[in-house]
Amino acid sequence: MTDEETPASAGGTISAEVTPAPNGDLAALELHPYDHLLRSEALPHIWCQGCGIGTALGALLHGFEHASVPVEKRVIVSGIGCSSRVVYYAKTDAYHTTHGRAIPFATGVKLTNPTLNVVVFAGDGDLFAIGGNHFMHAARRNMDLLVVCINNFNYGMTGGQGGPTTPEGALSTTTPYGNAERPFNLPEFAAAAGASYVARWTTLDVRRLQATFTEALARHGFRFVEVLAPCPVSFGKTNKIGTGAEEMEYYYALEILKSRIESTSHVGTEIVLHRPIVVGKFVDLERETFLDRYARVVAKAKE
Amino acid sequence: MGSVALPRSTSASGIARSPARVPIDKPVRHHGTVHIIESRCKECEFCVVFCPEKMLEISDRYTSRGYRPARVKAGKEGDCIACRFCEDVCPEYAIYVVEDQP
Repeated sequence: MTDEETPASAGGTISAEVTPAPNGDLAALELHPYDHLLRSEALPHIWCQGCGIGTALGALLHGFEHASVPVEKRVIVSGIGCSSRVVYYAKTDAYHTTHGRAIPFATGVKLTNPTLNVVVFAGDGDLFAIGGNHFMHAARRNMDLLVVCINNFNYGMTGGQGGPTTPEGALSTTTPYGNAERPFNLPEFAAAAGASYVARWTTLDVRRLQATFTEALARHGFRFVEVLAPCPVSFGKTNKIGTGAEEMEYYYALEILKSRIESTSHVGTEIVLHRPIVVGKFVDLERETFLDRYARVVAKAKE
Repeated sequence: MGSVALPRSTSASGIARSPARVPIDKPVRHHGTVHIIESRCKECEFCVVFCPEKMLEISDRYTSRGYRPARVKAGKEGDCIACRFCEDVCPEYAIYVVEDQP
């Protein structure tokens, strides 16, 4: 059906609730431009009101389309957490692994079929607390993976506990008087471990995020994109930042583009509560990947 | 020598002329129509807050899921500039823009 046929479209809005497809099947509706990339029958998704994960997934799907990755070559692997639910909504091959084990599974997928374009989409807790070692070693090997980290600074799904990315002094349900720990500096961590592409954006930088995903999906090696997403029901609420839109605006107001910083100034990429956040592309290298080196070893062994 | 032949039109007198120039000081303004899939909307207000034309608002009625969906402000239907930012920023895939053909 087309939206022009519905009388409600004259007012600029249509309601899928009152205009089902001719066979009465709501799943058959394809309205949104991303609907052919989504399992639209599963929508609306489970993420909270004001969550930024949907925006980041939309940017990734845009990247898949614009990087001309064929549908049958798209794979998303995720762990446990809010952001790991993307595998239920993206119309790609997908696997929902156990907690923290998305990267090992994705490594296996890539080694089994090197023609696939494998994306790991997980949260900060899954990638850096429970699966921290896997991240480090996949980066060291320069595995052919795009790792997308949705960083909301806490464990959102389990009730807003403090985690390895909670900024110092930030409130959470396990740090009610302020976090005493220093958080991971994710771009520096990825770069130090050997990633060949590292970028960080907030969810309000949608267009930049789309361009980054388009660029990163066409590259090889270990690529890491950190997305600073709002979590209005736990991090935003406990730290009194406000609604999802207000949290997005807040991060956007704090951000400094990496390209605008003079190389001599001492602005680090570390996230400090209520202090400027440096965003941009930090690393972009073409390096030999694990698959290249492994092929050489195999050839040598066969001699 | 690598010279590129520019397209030239020829007048009736046979003298070659440059093609008509497009004025650069006259910006092309795009227009679009906003469509909202109300059953998906979760009232996060991203489209309302970030629309550059401020042409959206939260409606005063509730969907079956208990959210008040976004709607186009009365009298602002023609204001959409088809920038599609609402479409990109919407985390629910509930709003999209169809650009009007000029």
